[in-house]
Amino acid sequence: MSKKRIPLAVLASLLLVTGVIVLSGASGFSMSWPSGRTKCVRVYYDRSKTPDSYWMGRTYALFTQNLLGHFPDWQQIVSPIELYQSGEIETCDATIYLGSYFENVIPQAFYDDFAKTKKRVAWLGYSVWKYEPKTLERLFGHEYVDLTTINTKSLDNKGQPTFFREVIYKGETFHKFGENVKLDLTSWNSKTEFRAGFEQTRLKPSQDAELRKGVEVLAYSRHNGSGEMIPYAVRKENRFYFADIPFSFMHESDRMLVFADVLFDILNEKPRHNGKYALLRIEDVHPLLPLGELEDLMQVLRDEEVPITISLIPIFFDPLYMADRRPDEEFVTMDRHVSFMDFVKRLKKEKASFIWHGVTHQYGRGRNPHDGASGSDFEFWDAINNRPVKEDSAAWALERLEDGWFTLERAGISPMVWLTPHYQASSVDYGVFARVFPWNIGRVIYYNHRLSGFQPRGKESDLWFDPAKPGNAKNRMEALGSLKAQVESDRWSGQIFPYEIYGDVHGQRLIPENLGNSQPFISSHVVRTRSVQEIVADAKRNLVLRDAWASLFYHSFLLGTIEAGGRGDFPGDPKELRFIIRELKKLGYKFINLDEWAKQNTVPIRPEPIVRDTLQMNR
Amino acid sequence: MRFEERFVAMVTSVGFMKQFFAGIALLLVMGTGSMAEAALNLAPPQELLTKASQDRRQLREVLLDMQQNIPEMRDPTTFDSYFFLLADLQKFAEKHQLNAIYPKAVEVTGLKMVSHGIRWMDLSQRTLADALYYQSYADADVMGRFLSEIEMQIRDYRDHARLKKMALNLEGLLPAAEKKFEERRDVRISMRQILSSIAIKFLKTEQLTNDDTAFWISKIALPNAYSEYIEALNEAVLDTFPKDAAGLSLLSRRLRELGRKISTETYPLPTYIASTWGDTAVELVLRSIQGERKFEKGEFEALVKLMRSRQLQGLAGQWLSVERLPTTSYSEHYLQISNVLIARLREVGLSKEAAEVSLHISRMAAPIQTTKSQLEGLYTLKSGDGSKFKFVIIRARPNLVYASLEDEKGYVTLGFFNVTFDSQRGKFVASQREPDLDATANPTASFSVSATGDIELEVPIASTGWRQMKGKRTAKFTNFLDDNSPTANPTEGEWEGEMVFREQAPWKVRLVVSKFGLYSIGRLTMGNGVTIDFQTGTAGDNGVIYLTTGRLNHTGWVHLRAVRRGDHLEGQTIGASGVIVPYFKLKKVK
Repeated sequence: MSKKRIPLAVLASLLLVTGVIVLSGASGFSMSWPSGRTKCVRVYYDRSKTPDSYWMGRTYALFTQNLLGHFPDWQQIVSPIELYQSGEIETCDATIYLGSYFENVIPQAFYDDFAKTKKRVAWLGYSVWKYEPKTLERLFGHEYVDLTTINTKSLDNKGQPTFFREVIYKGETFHKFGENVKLDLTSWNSKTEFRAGFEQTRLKPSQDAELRKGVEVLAYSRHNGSGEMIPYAVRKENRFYFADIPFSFMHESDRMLVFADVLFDILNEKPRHNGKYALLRIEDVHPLLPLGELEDLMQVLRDEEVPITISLIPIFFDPLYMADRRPDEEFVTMDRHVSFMDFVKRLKKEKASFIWHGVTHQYGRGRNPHDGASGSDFEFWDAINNRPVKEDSAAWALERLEDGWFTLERAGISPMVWLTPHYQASSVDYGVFARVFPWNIGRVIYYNHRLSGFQPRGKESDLWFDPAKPGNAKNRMEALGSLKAQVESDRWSGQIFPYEIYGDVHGQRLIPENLGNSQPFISSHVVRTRSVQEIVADAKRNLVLRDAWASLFYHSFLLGTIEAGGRGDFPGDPKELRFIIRELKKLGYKFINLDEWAKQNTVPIRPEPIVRDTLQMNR
Repeated sequence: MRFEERFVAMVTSVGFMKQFFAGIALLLVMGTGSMAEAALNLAPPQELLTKASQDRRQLREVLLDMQQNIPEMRDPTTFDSYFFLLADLQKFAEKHQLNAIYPKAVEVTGLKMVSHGIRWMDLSQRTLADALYYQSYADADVMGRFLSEIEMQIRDYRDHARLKKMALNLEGLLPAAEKKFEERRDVRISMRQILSSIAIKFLKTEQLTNDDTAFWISKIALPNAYSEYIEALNEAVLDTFPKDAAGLSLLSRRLRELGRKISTETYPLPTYIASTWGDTAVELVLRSIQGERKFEKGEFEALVKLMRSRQLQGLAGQWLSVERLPTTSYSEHYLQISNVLIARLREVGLSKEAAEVSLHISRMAAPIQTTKSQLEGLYTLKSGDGSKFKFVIIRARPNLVYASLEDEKGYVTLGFFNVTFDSQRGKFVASQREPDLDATANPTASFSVSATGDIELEVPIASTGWRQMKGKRTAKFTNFLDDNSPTANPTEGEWEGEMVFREQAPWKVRLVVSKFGLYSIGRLTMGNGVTIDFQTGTAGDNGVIYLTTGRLNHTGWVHLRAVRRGDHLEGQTIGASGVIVPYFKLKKVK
């Protein structure tokens, strides 16, 4: 087979917040919500003085909303800070303000209410210095000093500028991103630019011991040049402060994870899990993958007693003849491939879980952008032009899914989980995926968007792919055929999740993938290498986080030799895979059976967020 | 015997080997039987269509089922029954937007099918519509295989009707192939090559009708094929005797047809094609003229029109070098085609060549007209002032006319050695010599002669009274040139005898005729010591000799014409005043 080195241009993309701000339409603000649930959390973001061009504030709000999705009992109320009205903080159990726009004009009422409330409130990033120094000291037990910056004279051992790069939390060190990044991910010799989230608020403890009472520094930032440490996350009683917006340049060991964990405290929520979940999925399995490789891999999982999880591409398509295949195997549906079906049937008997990983995991007859072959290219995204595919619509995506479902049904496979190829799709596609699958898995790309046109039909499950409910196909088209996504511009951003989400802004239930995969070499698919040691180190670090998973994926070709693009000393060498599995187990993670877990976790999705924004969508 | 020994003994015995091979044969038979069980596992075509019409999933299944069963389509009938579903399936594909999941699925299926079924596409028997349908799904590789097969077939085919159908089909495929295989020149060239091969195979046959000739020439489509056929035509032209008018006509028709095809060919042809065609056409024209074949209506025009400038130049050169006068029956035709050539030369900008040919033709026209209207003779004229003149016209050589004018008293004599005929004006135009830079006078005259022998003469340089003259022919000269019974005896040698000049006493004369290549010259020595040198003469090979002097001071010229009969040379001598020796008979002395 052609050497498919998946992951992921997307991975790199996810590191960079380059998306678009959603301009949610001006919906009427209401103090009541239909869910009947009593807890609510307000999320305020900076719309800024230049709301037409400043998109990041809303994106940060989306990310925050998504993390709040781990707590499905909470009603989210989202609004630009500029629309804050006196007393709003008191109407909810918790409030989070994301100060991302420098010197934004914030209503005085918010300052006043934030300062006096007994509710649980969190302030992230800028503008906290607008408080009178003494007020600030009273609120957080710290004085504002200045904003940190980058040190281009004191370089690290890679020759890169230094800054407050490390975040120490619960004894573990998280990292801010800082690297020379290719400006063109598709080019080998692209120009690079040093990118980092180097800026944060520098606080120092109050001189007044009285004011320091009850202050807890949840996390420190450490300068990777000087070793200096300053507070990163501070808590004083009901108030929390984060020294930056933690979503910029997200990655697997990012300080975003600290915020995701502190969110439990901000909401005063307990962990949902009793144990630590681990999930290993075998990626990009399609009918023409060499069965020998797959069998080797399955045997490792059996030996290590790891439940088998397969990311399945039901239809193999290789229009450009890039794979090592017979001429008549250009388009192969899995149900027609006898030996592959034998393999699948054996796995079914072993209670393997099948994730539906795209219909063809490629698009059209051309390159998108790699080689046009299944498992290699984007399917729901025009990766060449960095935009949705030209015929993109809910109906198009649905019809495509029906094409895949037709084959899966004939193959006797009914996946409960959907995995978007290369994690990237348009907003409307994600809107469809959210509603036709009980669960989705992975990282997600977000536009600032708003969905409309959804016509609910009966129960949530009436839209799912279920062989027992053939009528669901009609329901799906009726409910979602007119779904539309309004987006502000072509800017998008990606997000990693440490724990499962019961409703992101697309409405997806999400199983996290937070450890990536083994990436031996830089290639057109891979912009950063990733070792198993890094994977295990990230998993270990995440142990301090509540409800965090150890979720990763692995490709069968990695069992091959280095010469063949794998990591083995000989063909079928399982040592790397065994290392990951055994180390994760040693750390206390428990590999789950995905289907069983999905069936058991039927928590209703979070209430539909209430979003208000005075700006109109421009398209 | 231990077991091992028994085993070795058994397997090496003849009996065992027979049984062993018999067993293998049996197994093979059984195996063959079971292998033959493989069969088509596909619903009937109509059922497939019904299924495919439902939605795009069913359509996809139908296509995949068909793809899967292609190897089991083992005869053309079965194959076609499914292959020809594709057109309908394509409509379903558009309706159900199959491209959204399996782009070009029908085309891909079609390609796979045609790759298998092309073996049954017999262009010599199938319709063009079928062939086009097959081609519409084929890629360059399939077409390559297909064309290779055809190349083999045409070597063996004897059935002309089938070959013709094959050619027609191939030609019908070409326009679509030009588009479909725009990037694959090899395919397009192969098609043209095969088509050309079939065409040339036919064209080399003698028995083709005109229509067939035109048909097959229209199928020639590649430079090498053009070359091959032109070469064949060229050889045929060279092998055809100039008098074989029918043969040349046949070749001319093919050549013209081919020339038209070349001139309208859309495929870019190298220039040598048109050049070699032109060379052949020139050769054909020259041979035709040599054999005095009359060109069909429009034939000559068509030939010269298709010639390139270089060939026209060459033809003009050849035209100028022709000295032999066409026979009377051909002369008018010759003048007509000459005029066509001159017009064409002018049309393409070869004005110098046009002028030269025009001049040459006007010279040729003079003897032609003279011979045709039998104008040789003595004319008695009267000028405007009543003066009387004698005017003599002779053919000094078959292609050369001389004239002379003498007044009644013999005081004024003008010799015209450059006599031409202006066919535009229907007049002879004569001058003493060709225009040159000589300072001496070059008198000119023009004249026309009616069928009844009435002559009108105009001498522009003469005084008013003598400028216009009119008269009648009063005597004719014996014409030996067109004698139908010439002998093969040469006239070269020395002849002696007597000549009687103007009824005076006979003079002893001696005539010496010397041959130089195609011409002869002579000297007449008279008893009184007077000698007359004849500078211009015919070859004299066929027993006829025409000798004429150069320009003489008072007599203009003297002309002697004779025919050899046995050892004698009999003839007459003509001067500016008419026949000056009515009859002489000289005996060969050397």
